[in-house]
Amino acid sequence: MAILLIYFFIGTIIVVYSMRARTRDQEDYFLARRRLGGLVSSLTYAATTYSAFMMIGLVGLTYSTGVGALGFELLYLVGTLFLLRYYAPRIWELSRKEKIVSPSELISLKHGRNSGRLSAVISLFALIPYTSVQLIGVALLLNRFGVPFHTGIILTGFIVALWGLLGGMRGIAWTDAFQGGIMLFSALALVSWVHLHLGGSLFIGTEEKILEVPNEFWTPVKFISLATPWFFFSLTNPQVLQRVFVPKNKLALGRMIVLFGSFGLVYTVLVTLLGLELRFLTENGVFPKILDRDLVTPTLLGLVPEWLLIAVSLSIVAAAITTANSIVLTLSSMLSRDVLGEKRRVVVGKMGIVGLTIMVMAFASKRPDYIVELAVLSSTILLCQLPSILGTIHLKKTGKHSSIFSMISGFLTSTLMAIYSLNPLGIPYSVWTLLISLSVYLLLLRLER
Amino acid sequence: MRAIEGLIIVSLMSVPFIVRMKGIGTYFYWVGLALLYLLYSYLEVRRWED
Repeated sequence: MAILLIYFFIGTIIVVYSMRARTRDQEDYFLARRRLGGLVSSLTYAATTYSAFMMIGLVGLTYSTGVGALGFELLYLVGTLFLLRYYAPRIWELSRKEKIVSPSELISLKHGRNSGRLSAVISLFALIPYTSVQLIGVALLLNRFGVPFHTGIILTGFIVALWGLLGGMRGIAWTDAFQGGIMLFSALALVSWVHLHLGGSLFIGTEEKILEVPNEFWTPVKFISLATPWFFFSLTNPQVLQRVFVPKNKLALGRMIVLFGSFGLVYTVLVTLLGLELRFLTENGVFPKILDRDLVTPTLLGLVPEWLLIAVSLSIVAAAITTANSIVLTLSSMLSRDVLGEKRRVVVGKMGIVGLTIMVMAFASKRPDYIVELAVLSSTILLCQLPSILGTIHLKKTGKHSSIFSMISGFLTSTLMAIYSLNPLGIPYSVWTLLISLSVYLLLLRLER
Repeated sequence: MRAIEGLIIVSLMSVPFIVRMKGIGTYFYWVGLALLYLLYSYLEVRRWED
């Protein structure tokens, strides 16, 4: 608890320091006046992207399914580098020229206000359960240190709202940079400790099935199914798309992309290395055999010394909070500007942060059965916005109906196919979502023209 | 050109599935490829001007 208080204290000092200049308008509040340097931009991009899933979910996934998990995560990374190199300069220029603040305004620009409003509503639907899962993760972790679950939810929600409320994008970006450092250091320390104290040997000699693809889990269809929404994550997920607007110049934008890629590569390698090392140690009888993959990291944390347990737990808290408060800030900009049409007053954005955090906390407290499924589905749901975003960038003339109906059809495809577990013709529903929303967009665009 | 680059990178990332790669090489293949692509990205964004 004392460490959590120190963490909270340092984060709050950073946020208060970031407030030294008076917030003038929404551009200032939501985008830090578009004046962030490359390093801070890259760290907030990385900390927003990499959630608590990495240290808990990906370690366990690699442990139980093998090296395919590394391929999946690195395909996301190279996909992001590819898309950012091509689209980030165009989006960055467009956002400055047209004074775009919220990601949905990109869609409104060429498809009309209702398209932007619909995009904001879909983002709210997709990302509130995802954000709630981050709070649940932190509350469950704190519960291991004796903090009651609901108190953990309230504490986490309080930090998320306070830092966003006081500091806006500038405060969140700076605290993200601080927390990104904690995430990287803890992962490195944990891998080193496992290697030195449990005697991992870079998993040489590990059971062949774990080091081969395809295997029972990582079939080509599974790989495509999981990788498709993640490949386009940088364009479809508003919390990262908005971060493309904030670097102060193109040099800083380029630096953001490369430094984010470096962070992502190192962090992914460390986390997957940990999963494979633990599997190797299980096969050699040093580490217990774990059947539930979500329990791999918690089991390991039961073996490490207290300082490392605290550091890794703090890194998981940091990963969850950085993701949660970035999403809440972005959703608040969409709620204020796209849904309510308020583009000037900062107080509306701040009220949005409080309201959204309360909603996320309520959702997290209730822990409905379907919350994890909805959270996993979030990136697939958001794929329905891809044709409209690409249309904004590539086309001179578009139509409002093409955008609205492509988003509705994609949204319905993803949710209905997920609910009924449908994969027609053996094609994953993430691919169907993309194909249907793209086909509807192109077809209606032709008719509208 | 960009679309071709995208297809090439996705194809290269899928090679372990196509050739049914086994052993430690799978790990180093993916990490090496991502590292090379990061380097390639660095060389391109370095040319961006303000």
